[in-house]
Amino acid sequence: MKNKKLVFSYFNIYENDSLRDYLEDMALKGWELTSLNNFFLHFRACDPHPVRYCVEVMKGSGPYASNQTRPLKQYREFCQEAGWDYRGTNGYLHVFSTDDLNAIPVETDSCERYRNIRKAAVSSCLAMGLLFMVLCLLNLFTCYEKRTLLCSQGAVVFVLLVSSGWFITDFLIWNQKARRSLSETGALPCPPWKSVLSKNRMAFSFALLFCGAVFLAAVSEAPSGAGVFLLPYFITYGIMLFVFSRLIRLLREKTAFSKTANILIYWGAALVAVILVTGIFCAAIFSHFLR
Amino acid sequence: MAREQFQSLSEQMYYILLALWEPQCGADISRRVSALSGQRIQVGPGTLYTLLARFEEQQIILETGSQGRRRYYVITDKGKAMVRAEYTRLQALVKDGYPYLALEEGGYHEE
Repeated sequence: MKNKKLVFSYFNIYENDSLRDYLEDMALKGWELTSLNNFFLHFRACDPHPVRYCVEVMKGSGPYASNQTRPLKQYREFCQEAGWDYRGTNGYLHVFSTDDLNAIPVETDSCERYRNIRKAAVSSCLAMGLLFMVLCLLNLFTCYEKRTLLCSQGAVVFVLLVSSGWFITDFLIWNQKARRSLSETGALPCPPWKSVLSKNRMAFSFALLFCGAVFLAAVSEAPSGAGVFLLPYFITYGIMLFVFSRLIRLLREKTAFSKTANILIYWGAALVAVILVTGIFCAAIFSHFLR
Repeated sequence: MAREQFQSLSEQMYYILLALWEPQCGADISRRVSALSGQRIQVGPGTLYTLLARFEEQQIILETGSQGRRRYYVITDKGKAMVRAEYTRLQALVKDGYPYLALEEGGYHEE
């Protein structure tokens, strides 16, 4: 019987309590969380039993911030002293678990939780917005050269704008609900994990579908013979995404560099890699046509 | 609720500072808060850490020492003054509300 399971994590930062409920349900089904990273949740088989989880956004943490700073270590030590085991982080969300069903939750101040979650979600939206803006500008530049938006680059711009709109709207809706819930009940809203999972899966499927369509459009537009390079080109980028997600995890978990240093190392390396990969593929395409 | 300027103390803050009248470590503070408030107030370790760090920064509490991973804290004179101010404020609230609320319960007669 399989005793390990890898599950894609569809939960946003502000859906941390739904993720907590999901993890508790998984424990009841005999799957215990062992670790998590930027994209996946790692489970191992266990006897089905109730486990309590807390999924929190810690002040001063983030995808680029080291997890080995003194305040974060002390925070975890406080939690350990109170019986909460640290399971890991995906950058923003930190997961704790305990078998003590009567343990006091890690965070008992809803307003502080709201502030931490909102700050992390806003900073995540801004980082993504910046990345999307750069990609949009690059693609719009190509559209301008082609004098049309009806091309694969135009489609990329469309996908990026729709995705940004989706993320921002989803966050704003949560923010509104959270403020109302805090003033009415003193607690943050916690939608059922199944509905959160369905909503995010649907959005993710649409995004994948659009990406597939963009890829096909790019293949059909490519000069004859050049299309054959596109698949390896995109696969290389996929591999790079994986390698860089490991790099950021390494920087976060194994070093105590400052956040600025981590950003510079990560994005500096990413820039060099993009230039190298693009250069190699351009050289391969040119040599193919010159032959 | 964590109040930025400590102009007034939240319930959690008030009880944490009361618990620190004697040197205590994190787990002891949490238990003491529950006991002092008759199990009404619970302070999670994450919330406790954040508040202690903030109190220490504002010199409302002081770290007195550590045993292994356990760090011990005690309230400072500044912290005691804050708790006394809050106590006075709460007493004033009770006093002002008494003629109205105690009357409803049938226990108040103005002299």
